[in-house]
Amino acid sequence: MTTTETHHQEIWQLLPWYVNGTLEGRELDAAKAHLATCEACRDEAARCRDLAAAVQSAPAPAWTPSPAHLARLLARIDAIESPGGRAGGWREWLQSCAAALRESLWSTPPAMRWALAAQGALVVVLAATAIWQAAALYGPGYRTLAGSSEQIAAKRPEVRIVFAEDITEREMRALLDRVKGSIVSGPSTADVYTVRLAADGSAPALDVLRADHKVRLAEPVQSQ
Amino acid sequence: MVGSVGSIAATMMLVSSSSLDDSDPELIRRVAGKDRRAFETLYQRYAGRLHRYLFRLIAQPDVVEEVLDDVMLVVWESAARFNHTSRVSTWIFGIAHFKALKARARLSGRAGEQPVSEDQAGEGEGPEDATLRGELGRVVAQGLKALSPEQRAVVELTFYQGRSYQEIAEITRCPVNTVKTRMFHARRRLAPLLAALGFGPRVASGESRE
Repeated sequence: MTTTETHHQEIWQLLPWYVNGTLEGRELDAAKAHLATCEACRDEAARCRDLAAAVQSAPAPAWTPSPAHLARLLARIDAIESPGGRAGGWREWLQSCAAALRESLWSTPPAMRWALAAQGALVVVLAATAIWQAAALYGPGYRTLAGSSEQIAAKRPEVRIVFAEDITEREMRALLDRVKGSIVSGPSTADVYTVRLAADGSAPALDVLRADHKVRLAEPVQSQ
Repeated sequence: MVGSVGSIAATMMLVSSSSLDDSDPELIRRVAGKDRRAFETLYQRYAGRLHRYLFRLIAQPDVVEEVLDDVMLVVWESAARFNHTSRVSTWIFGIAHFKALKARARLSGRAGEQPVSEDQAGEGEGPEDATLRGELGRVVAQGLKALSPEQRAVVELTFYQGRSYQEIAEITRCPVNTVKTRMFHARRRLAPLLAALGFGPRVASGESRE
C-alpha cells in the first residue's frame, strides 16, 4: 500500500512534465501505466493542461526585437570592445600575470625561486619598456593612454543607422552625401548600417540624420 | 516599430538560407570569436522568448528591456566559456534567470508591480477563444503574481517554454526535487483559480486517455 502510495505521489509530481511532453524513457512509461489505472492522476493531468493553456494565454506585453533595440545593444558591445572600453583592463592583465607568476614560483623548489623571480622581474621590466616605447611611437592612438578612444572617435566618428524600410537607394546616397558619410558596414541582419562621418562636425551630422524622416535611428558608435 | 518586424523576418529568412550551419552551438562558437553577425542571429532567435521570461519574473516593463540587454551582453562576453555540455538555450535562460532575480532584489525597494494593461496583452489567436482565454489568462496572471518568483519561474519554464524538469533545475541552479516541490506549491495555489473559472477535472473529464 505504502509503495503504491509513494508511486502515486511520484507520478503526481511528474504530471506537469508529462503534459508538456518532456518526460522520457522509464518515467514516461511509468506515468502512462499509472494514468491508465488512476483517475485522480488523470484529473490532475487535465488540470495541468488547463494550467498550461492559462499560462500560455496570460497577458504579457507584445514585444518583438526591434532594430533600434539591437543597435543600442551593439553600441554597448562597441563600448566594451573598444580600446580602453573596460576600465582597469591593463590592471587586470597585470594582476593576472602577477598571480600566474606567484603560482609558478610556489610550485618551484626554493633554490630556483630567486633565480626565477629575478628573471621574471627582468621580463616585466623589458615588457613595460617595450609598451612605453610603442606608446610613444604610435602616439595618442595607442591603447594604453586613458582617453585615447575618445580622441579616435572624435577624429572619425561612426554612427549606427537604421533607415526606414521605404528609403530608396538614391535617397540614402543623398542623405549620406549631406552628412559626408560613407558606409563602413551593413546592412546587418537587423538592417543596421555603420556609417563613418567626415572628420569634423559629427554633432550637426547626427542632428541632420535624426531629423530625416527616412531615418529610424542614428546612434553614435562608442559613446554611452 | 511594427513595420520593421516584416523586414526583420525577411532578413532572418535571408540569413538562414545563406548560412548553412546556424545551429545554436555553432552560433555560440562564432560569438566566442567575436562574430557580430552570429550574435545578431542569436539575438533575433532569443530576444522575444527571453523578454517574455524576464517579464514574468520582473513584471516591470521598463526594467525588462534593460535586463535583457545585460543578459545578451553576458552571452557576448562569456560565449568562449560556454562548455557545450548543456543546451545553449538552457545556458542562456540560466543567465536570464540569474539576472532577473538580481534585478528583482535590486527593485524590491521600489513601488509595487505594474499591472499589465489589456492592450499590452497581445496573443495571436482567434476571436472566439480570445474572450474565454483572455479571462482565464488574466486571472492566472494575477495568480502567478501571488507566487514566489522561483515558483513562477518553474511554472513559466514548464508550461510556456516547454522545459523538462532537469533543464529547469539547471536553469534555476537547484536540485530537481526543489523544482518538483516548487511546482507542487504553485499547482496547489493556482488550482482554486482554475476551478473558480469552471476549469479543472469537471470540464476535462471527457478527454481521451493517452
